[in-house]
Amino acid sequence: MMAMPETIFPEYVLIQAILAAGIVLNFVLLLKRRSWKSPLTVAVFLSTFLILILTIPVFYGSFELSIHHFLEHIFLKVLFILVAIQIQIHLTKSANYQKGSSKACEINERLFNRSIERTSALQDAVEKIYVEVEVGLFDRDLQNFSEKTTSFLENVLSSAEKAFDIFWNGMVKKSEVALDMLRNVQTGLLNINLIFVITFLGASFILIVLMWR
Amino acid sequence: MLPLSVYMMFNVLLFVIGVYSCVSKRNLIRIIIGVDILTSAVNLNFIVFSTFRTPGLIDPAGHSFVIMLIALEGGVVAVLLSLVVFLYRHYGTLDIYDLVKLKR
Repeated sequence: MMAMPETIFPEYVLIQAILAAGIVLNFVLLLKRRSWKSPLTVAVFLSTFLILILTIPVFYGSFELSIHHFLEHIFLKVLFILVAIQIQIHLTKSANYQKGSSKACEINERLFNRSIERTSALQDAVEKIYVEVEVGLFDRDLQNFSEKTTSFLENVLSSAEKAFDIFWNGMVKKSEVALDMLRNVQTGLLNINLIFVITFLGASFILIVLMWR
Repeated sequence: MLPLSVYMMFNVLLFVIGVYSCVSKRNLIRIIIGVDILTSAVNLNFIVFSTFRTPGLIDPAGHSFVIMLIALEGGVVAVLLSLVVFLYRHYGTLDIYDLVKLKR
C-alpha cells in the first residue's frame, strides 16, 4: 500500500537527478560514439533507465522502506547485468557442446516416442477388454463372457508380446547406432590425438634446432 | 602403443630443454623459444594423459585443455614478441645482460 507523500525527501530528488543526468549522458554517448552495437553498453543504459523508473515509487513509501527498496533495486540491477554477461559467455562457450549432443538427444527422443506409441497400443487393448467385460456382465451370459474374456486376454497377450518385440528390436538397433556414433567419436579423437602429437613433436624439434643454432 | 613411461620421459626431456634455454640463453628470442618448448611439453603431457586415463577410450577434457592452451600460448608469444620489438627499438640490443647493465 502506498500513501501519498507528505514530504518529498531531498536525498531522493538528488539521487533521481543524478540518475537522470547519467541516463542523458549515456544516451548522448550512445548517439555520439555509435556504440549501440555493443550489447554491454546498451545493457548498462537500459539498466540505468530501469533503476530510474523503479525508484520513482520510492517517493511514496516510508523512509526506511524506501532506502531499503532503493538499495535492493540497485543491487538487483547490478546482479542482473553480471549474470547476463556470465550467461552470454557461458552460452557462447557451450554452443559447440550443444551441437554435439543434439544428435544423441534426437535418437533418445525417437526411441521415447516409439515406446509411447507401443504403450498407447497396449492401453487401447486393455480398454477394449474393459468394454467387453462390461458388455459381458450386462449380457449375464457367463459362458459367452468367459470365452470372450479368454480370447481378449490372448489377444492382449499377443499384442503385448508383439509390442515388446518391436520395442526391444528398436532399442537394440538404436543402441547399436549410438555405439557406432561413440566409436566414430573415439576414432576421431584418436586421429586428433595423433595430429596433436605429431604437430607438437615437429614444432618442438624445429624450436630446439632454432634455439641451438 | 608405447607405454606411458616413454611418453613421460620424452615430455620431461622437452621440459628440461625448455627450462635450460630459459635459464642459460642470453638472447631474448631464444628465451621465448624456450617458453614455447615448455608449453609444448605441457600440451603433450595433457594429450598423453587423456589417452592413458581410461583404457580403450580417449578423454576429451585433455583435448579441450590443449586447444585452450594453444590459444593462450599464441597470445603469450605475441605479447612477448611485441615486448622484444619495443626493447630492441629502445635499447638497440636483445642481450639480457646488456639490458640489465643499461638501467634506463
